[in-house]
Amino acid sequence: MADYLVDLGENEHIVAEVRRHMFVFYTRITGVVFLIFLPLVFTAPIVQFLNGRFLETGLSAQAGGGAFFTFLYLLWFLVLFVVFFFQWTDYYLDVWVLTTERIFDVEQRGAFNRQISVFRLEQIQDVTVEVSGVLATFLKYGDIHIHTAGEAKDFIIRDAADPLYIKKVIMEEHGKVIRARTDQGVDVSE
Amino acid sequence: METLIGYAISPTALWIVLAIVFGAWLVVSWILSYHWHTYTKGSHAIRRVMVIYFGVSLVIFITEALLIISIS
Repeated sequence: MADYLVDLGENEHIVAEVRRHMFVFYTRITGVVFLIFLPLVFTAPIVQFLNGRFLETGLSAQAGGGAFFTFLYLLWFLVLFVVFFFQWTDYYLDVWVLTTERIFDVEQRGAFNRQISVFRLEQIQDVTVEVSGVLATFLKYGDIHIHTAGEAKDFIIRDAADPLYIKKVIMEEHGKVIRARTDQGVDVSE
Repeated sequence: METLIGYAISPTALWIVLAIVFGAWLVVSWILSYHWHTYTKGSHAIRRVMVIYFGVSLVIFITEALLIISIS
């Protein structure tokens, strides 16, 4: 669980960890995957060109062109491979952590920019789920809008997997906190 | 021009290119590893990701070196 991501209080436990649906990540890396396969389409003409250059320089055309193309292609692949993992890390480090007392919004913006927002469950006024589109409906992902009391901005969990279940969990934990505070005689009307 | 092309596809140039790429790879890998270790330690998913990342990268660099040797 994500206890390495957030500082938990005494008796506070993580209930759920919410990330964007994997399909959202797949759409982000479509371009990278396309670029990985693009040079392979032009293998024959490129190798032919390189073989010609090897002949001109006196190096063997048989061993040179194909090996050199493979060398260049592997460099190209390595660059895109690293880009893929940067994209994946950005996806994986964007997470919403629901605990028994708070909700943490952890957002990784690039390699050197990280934002963490927190609000307490008793601040929640209402939770709205928005599932829009054919793919979102069949793949079950959508936005969860959490409206909080006071002047704090609304929290939005974007493209969350199984948003209806997450909403249910949020409302259950919210209810538990409200009941606990009420039992303790704490005013939770604001 | 032919001399330039001849130098560009020579094993010496390829070793230099590979060394530069390896240096850049070290830097970006350190950045990725920092994030993986700092923000996700204990995650099983990250352990698998690290094995794949460093494993595939190692295979690529070894293959590149063998390719340069084959061109030499």
